[in-house]
Amino acid sequence: MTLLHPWAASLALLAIVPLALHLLRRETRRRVAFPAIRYLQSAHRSSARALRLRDRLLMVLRVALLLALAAAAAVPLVGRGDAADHRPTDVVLILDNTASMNRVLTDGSLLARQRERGLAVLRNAGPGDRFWVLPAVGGPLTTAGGAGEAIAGLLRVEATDATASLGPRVREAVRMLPPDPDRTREIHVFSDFQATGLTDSQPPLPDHVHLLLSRVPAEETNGAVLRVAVTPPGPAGGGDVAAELALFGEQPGRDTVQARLVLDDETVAIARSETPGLAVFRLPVLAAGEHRAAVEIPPSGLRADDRRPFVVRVVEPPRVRHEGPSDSYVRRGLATLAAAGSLILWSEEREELDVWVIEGTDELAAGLAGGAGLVLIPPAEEVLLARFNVNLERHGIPWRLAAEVASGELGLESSPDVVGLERARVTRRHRLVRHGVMVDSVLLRTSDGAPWLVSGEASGRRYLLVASSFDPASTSLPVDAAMVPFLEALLLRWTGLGGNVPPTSPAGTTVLLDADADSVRAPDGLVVPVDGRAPYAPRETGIHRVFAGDRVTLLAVGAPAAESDLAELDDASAADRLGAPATVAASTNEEWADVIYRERRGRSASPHFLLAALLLAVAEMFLATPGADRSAARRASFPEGAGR
Amino acid sequence: MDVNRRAREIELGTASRDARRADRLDPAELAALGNLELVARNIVEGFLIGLHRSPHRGFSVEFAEHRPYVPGDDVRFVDWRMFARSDRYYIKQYEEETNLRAYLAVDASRSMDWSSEPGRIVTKLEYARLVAASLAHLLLRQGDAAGLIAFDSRIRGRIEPRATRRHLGTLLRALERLDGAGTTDAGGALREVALRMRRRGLVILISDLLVDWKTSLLALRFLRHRRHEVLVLHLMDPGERDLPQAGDAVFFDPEDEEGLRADSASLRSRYRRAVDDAIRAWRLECRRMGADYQPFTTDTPLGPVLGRYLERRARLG
Repeated sequence: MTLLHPWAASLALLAIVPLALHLLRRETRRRVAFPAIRYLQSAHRSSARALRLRDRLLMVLRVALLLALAAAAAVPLVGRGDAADHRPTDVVLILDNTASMNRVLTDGSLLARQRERGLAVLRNAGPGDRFWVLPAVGGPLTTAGGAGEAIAGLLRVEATDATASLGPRVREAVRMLPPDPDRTREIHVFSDFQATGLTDSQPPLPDHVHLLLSRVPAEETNGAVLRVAVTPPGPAGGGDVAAELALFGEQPGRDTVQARLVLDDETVAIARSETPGLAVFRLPVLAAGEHRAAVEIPPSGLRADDRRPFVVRVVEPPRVRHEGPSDSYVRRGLATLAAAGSLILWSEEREELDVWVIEGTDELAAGLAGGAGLVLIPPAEEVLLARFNVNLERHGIPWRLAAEVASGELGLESSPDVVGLERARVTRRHRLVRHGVMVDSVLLRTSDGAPWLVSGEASGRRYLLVASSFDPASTSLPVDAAMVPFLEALLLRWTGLGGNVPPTSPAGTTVLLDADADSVRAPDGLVVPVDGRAPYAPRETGIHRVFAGDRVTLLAVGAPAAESDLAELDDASAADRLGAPATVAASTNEEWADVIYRERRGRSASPHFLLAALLLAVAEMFLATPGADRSAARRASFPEGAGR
Repeated sequence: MDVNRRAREIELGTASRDARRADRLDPAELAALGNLELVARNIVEGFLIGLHRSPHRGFSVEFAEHRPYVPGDDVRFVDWRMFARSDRYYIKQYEEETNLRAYLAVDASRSMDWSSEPGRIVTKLEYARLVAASLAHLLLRQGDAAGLIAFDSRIRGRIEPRATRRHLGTLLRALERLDGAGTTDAGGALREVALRMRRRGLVILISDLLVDWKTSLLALRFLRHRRHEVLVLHLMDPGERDLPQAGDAVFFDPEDEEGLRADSASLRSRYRRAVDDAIRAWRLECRRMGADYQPFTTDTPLGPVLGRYLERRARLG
């Protein structure tokens, strides 16, 4: 309890007055002549005890009356007052707008309910309060503004399908709040306190910063397509889709889930899978170009992760020319691929050529088609190696082949693009030596870790350089079943000429757009201008269209897997993870209205004390002038009785 | 009210008829006139006018003469035979005969010399003086003999009853000389009156009755036993009738300085009951012994007091 006017409490000293009067009255010296004293004596005899009791009661009443008046004047503030009556307060409102907050309850989304809680805070704001609005995903929307600005800020918080960790947001909020001993500092967190969003413990909050947690109870069950792994189809078709499905929360009787593969808005395959488990689909033959695809499951708690989109890019078969022995294993392998439709094998040089495969020849300099990629396979004869290196240098390829060879048989590391590659053995291998600074990469290594297949860009063309010639004396690959898949990977994937499946970006993460991208159309149709050189973080799941002049590319954005598990932390654990020493949490609107604005002035008890004083005064009046005496008192005033 | 102006009007006879009704005036105004004889005469005449009776009517039965009827005469005394003969109203007048000896016993103790509001309310002694003077005037005017006995703890003065007009002056001078002193012993005084009154008569006790209850009652019974008529006029100051606000004080009896510390506010209702009990007891005892009892407060006009006397006198015949 505090006193609004503590100085007024000193009025309580007035209570001494009736006490003193009561005591001093015993010593009264006032004498009044009164002949009819016999009647007075008679009256006094009959009521002496009652009068003594009444006198003491009167004294108590008068003391209590003065104390009550003093208390009323001091305006004692007791309990927690109305939310609107509080010390000037700085409040950071952290509104969780991650994907899990998009769950739909009976009366609106979780985000809408929490937004209402935030508005309730602002409706009780005082003129001296300042507010910051900080969404979990996105930058601050209001900084040290009044309630009106904060309301506008709260209403601007958009739902996203992104994920975010609340801990860093709370630390950011602490940094926002200026230390001021005259102001209360509060951080209000409106969230579902999803366990996956509170993985890291935060250091303790500074003293005098109150952390209040607002929670709206919601179902924690959910089904999700967590990930999709796609083997890109070649020009001749093929390609697989493996979708990882999961159910979260207690869902008795639901052990399996049906998933659909949707391509360009048409369901092309349905599969049923146990949960957790994989649903596997075979991609149909697709025309060259970009295709919108998704794996879907029936709607569950969180809608964003019920559909995981991806983009499939299918290209035309590359045009390949082979330069080398006509009976080489490579030539035969290429012929096999050409027969399957995966590439077009040309025998003469053309301008439209996509890839040159140069195997063991010293005629590298002879008329390379402009822009075509190079696949360089060293000659089997050692004497030609120097000429091969000269040609490498002439075309700016920063690798040289050393004559030394590896001893014994070496294996090749496995590659997801080539099934069975790890079975191949390398018995002769040139050592690849770097020359100068280069931006290139090692695609395959032998089991001793030495580079075996490298790639890079040189003179405006992409090249692939193998460290062994393709003959059975150098490697078992030409006679292995992996030979054709290896050549397919070499020509369609590693050269970048084949189809691909760009990775699906989790919502809320930054993606690199084409440098000349100028706008993005989100799945909801909203077109947002972008700068291709600046980071861009799409927040909505689905297929985004990225415009770069007349060119359009597709960008798939999926829900972050972390958002799918809706399990929530309890209040104490959530507060602990956020660095709060004690839990102040509310699950209902009433509880929330009670906990916000920690340092309230309290309710004034003055009306109660005034009422008590009034009752005491009435009691004192009746007791002081009992019964018929009251009317007599009005009629007469006393008589300083005196003789003549 | 301007007391002096009123007194002057009465003295000069310039007051209106109602204004001359001194029996209706505030005793304090009358006391301010100072001239007790003048005041007593005005009280009595005003009172008699109010009765609508002839001031000359006697109480004896000896016929004297006729006189013309004047408004205010009692129609019971109209001689209807004379009316039949002369077609005029005549009143039969009777020879007044003195057949009553009355003692005015006035309490002159210190307790009588007290007023709760000096200047506005007369002391009980002043009031008793007015009452006694008026009664004496009335008695003598009617041909009765009036005597006076003033007492406190002892007999302070005694004037034997006589019926002469000049005797009124003697009585009034004695009354004017009275002052409040000493304690009260009404019993002793009344006993002495009883012993001195040989003939059956009327004793009018004018007192605040702050007396010894037992001895006083015994004396009154003794008077009644001697077949005297007794009229007790119990005088009380309004401040004694209803205890006013005095706060917390030591109340003391002016007669014996006996004190009592009390809070008047807290005792008011009980005090009122004590006074009522006392009045009730006096009235009961007086009725039992055949005496007449009437309490008055000292702000009461004198008319009712005289009326009470006349009622008693009428019963005596």
